[in-house]
Amino acid sequence: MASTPDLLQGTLDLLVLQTLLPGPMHGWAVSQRILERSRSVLEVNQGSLYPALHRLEDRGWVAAEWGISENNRRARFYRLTPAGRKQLAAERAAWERYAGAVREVLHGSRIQTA
Amino acid sequence: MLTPSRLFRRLRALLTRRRFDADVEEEIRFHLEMEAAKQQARGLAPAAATSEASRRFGSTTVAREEVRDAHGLTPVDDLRRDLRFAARSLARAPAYTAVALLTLALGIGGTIAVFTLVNATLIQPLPFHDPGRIMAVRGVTREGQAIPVSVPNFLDWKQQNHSFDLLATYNTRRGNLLGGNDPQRVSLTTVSGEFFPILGVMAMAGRSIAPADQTGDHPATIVLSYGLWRRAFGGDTGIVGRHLSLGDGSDYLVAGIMPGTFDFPQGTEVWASRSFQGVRWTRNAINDQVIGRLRNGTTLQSTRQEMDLIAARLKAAFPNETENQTATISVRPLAEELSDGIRTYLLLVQVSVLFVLLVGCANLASAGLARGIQREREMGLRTALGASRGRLLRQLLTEHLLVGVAGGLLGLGLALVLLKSLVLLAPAGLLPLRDLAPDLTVVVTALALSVIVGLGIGLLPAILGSRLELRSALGSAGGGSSRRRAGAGWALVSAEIGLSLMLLIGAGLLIHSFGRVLSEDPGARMEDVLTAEVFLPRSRYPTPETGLVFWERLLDRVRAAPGVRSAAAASAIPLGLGTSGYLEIEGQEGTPTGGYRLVTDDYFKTMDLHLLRGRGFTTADDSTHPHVTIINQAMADKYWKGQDPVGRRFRAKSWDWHPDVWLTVIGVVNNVRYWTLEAKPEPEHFVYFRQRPDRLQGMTLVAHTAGDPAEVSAAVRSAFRQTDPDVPADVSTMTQKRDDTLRQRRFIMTLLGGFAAFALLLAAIGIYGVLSYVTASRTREIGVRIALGARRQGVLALVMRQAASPVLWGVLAGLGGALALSRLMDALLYGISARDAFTFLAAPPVLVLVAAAACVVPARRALRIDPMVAIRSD
Repeated sequence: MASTPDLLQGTLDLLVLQTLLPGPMHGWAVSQRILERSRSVLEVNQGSLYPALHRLEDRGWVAAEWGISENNRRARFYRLTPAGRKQLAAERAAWERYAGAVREVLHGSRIQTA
Repeated sequence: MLTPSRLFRRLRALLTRRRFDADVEEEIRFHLEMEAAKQQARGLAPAAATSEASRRFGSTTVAREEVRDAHGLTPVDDLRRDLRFAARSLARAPAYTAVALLTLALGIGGTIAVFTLVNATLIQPLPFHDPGRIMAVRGVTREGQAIPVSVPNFLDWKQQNHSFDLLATYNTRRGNLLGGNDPQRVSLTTVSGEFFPILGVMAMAGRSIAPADQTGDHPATIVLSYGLWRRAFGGDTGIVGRHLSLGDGSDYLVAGIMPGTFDFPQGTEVWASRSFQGVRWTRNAINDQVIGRLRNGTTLQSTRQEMDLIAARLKAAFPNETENQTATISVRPLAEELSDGIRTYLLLVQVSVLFVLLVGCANLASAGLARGIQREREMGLRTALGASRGRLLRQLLTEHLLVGVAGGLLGLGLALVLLKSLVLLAPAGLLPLRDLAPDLTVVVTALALSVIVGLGIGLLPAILGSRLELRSALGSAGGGSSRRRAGAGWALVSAEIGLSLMLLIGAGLLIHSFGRVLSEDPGARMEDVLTAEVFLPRSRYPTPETGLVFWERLLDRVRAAPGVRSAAAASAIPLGLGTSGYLEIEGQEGTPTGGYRLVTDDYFKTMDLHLLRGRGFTTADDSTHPHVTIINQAMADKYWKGQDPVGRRFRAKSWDWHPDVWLTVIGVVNNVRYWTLEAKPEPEHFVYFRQRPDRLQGMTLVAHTAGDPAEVSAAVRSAFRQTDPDVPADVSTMTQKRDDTLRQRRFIMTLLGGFAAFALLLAAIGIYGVLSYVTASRTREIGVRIALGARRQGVLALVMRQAASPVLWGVLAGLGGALALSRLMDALLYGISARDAFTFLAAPPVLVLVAAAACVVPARRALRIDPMVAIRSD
């Protein structure tokens, strides 16, 4: 995974945006949700989540504010902005196109070699 | 893309930086705590849970840095780090830093100061209303010399032209201001009514002089300069509306006070209204300067054509009036005329400052190169540790930029100080008395300049420095890069030498020329002479007889004063301003001219003028005897060449109050210089005060004293008070007057000399630096030579020879440059050519000596090299 950082970074951004779709949450919760949903396949360095979150904030796709966590601690909560929703839709479409194309190629080649 | 909202977010992050960092810190801490709690819930011990959380998170440092990067803060952080690093690295080399800062501060400070001056005098418009339309209108002799105008001609110009909305005369002289606390001698400008409307400058208090003043029932008016008002009237506005006297019989209403920024004509303390009515003016008395305001829509060219027509018409109408036989009319923008005197100086100073700045830059660059070798290992080490070439380059550039900007700011401060002192030190009349503060454009340009200089001087060593090869840097000094640097260093030294030599030659020319001026014989006594200029107020001395009484009484008192050897008076004294006029010489044709001097008894004795032929005046030469005159050598040579002038007769038609009386030459005296030491002696003749008491109003007392004339001045002042307390006098000495005539020369000479000395010093430092560097890089080689038996002289020659050829090339380039630029100097020199062989031959040895001195320390260092140490080192 580390050998394709660009892919990883784009993917991570997409995952974070998707994770935030239901509602605001703090960074740790985002990391847990991604872990659960991917059935631990995407064992991301948890530390790399934060540059992604801040990058999205810098772009204006998520907004952050301090709030109180479930265990009564001060935590930074991220939520999708309208621009973020639009971006998520666009990136999802792009990803699905991409994944579809990859799948197509993989299936085709398996037939040929078989 | 950097959208405005994104930029805003980044700026906020940048500005609330501390808070931002704390937030990131807290966010990470929160994450780690949550993760640790989760791991603990899974059954890990607290310590293990914490370390597992931290393992899963990865490097917090990297996360922190990447978060900052996500907000675009990294370049700022890098810059900050580079700056801190640069500051530390500069602090470790205090000598280099001090020299660099000083060089830049002086170079840039000088540049700002000079360009501010240029800006104020040559580029910025005059501080008058719509100054582009204000013209100086002058008569021009057939030789092309601009001359003043007579009143009748002015009135004709005014009446006949259609090009000017307004035309006015002005005329500056020393005058009396009476009726205040003490009688004052002031610089007085009489102006016709349109003078102030043309300039469009408002009074600070009261009003300026209006066209209606001094016509009909309106009284004569004066306005005071800000300086005089502060000095003589204590800054009391109550003076406005009161009456003062100029000693001419009229009372003058003080109409107003001009602001401190108004200084035209330069140095004027009192402006007085004048009337052209009630006096019969002659076209021969040419005393007035004229300014005019062009009518809207009129071009300079059509104005010139019209004025030429008027000149031709006047010439046809008054063929006998001498002025019109020779004069055309010149119309020029006033701004252009006012900058005439200073333009050459400023250009020279501008070029000099630029040279000094260039020498400074070359020096900094070569110092940077020399410093480069000391840092070669540092750089090599850092390259080995993984620093990229770009990163090293950026750090080097940051360092030089820091020096550049700091030097620029220091220079700005220095410029303010320089401008203040230049205004104080410069001779009166050379600089405009305006607000000499650098304006924004100059400041911005200068700071941009310092950045460029910083980058420029940084670039060379940086490029050469970062290209170094790792192995050679870590291994030993003296690889290919150090040879390349030595070459660049020597090229810089050549440039420094060349520029310094040009400055040195420029200064040398001025010094040589100053010596020539000083060696001119003024023709009269300079030491131990006290002078006192007097203008008898007509109100108190209305007749020739009263003037004669004043002077006889005053001279008796002064002669009786202790310390006075002899005393006399004259209408014009050496190095002063003289009046001259047209003569009619018996038996000769043409329009001869000659200076007219009225003198009392003992004048020749007091001023040490020698009678070359004939006799002097005696008390017997009174009004009942034939009118006599003594002429100078120049007059004898010009009008009676090869003949004996004694016994010849002439009349002084234009100036004398007895224009029809023939004057008989009784003697010839030696030539005396008027105005300055440089002015060629012109024909002049002396008349005797007992035969011409009607001209005794404006005279200068001269007293030959036994010791320092300043010690006698109190006695002379008291003689004045006893004779008449209401007659003010300008008391001075001949040496003071001589120094005044030299001030401008001395000023520019000192300035250029200073530049040259500074450039020379910089060049010496440059040679020293490069030679030290080169010698240090050859330590091992020299060590081997010594070990193999090289002699001291051999080693010395080896070291010195390296500097010889760059110095030689620099000298040749400098000589060529100085020759090419010699035209710049022409106008400023006296008695020598701008290609004066003596100066051109004398300057290079000075430079070579300085260069040799700069080689001494590195050469001695080479001699002290211990072969064993040198060979084993590295």
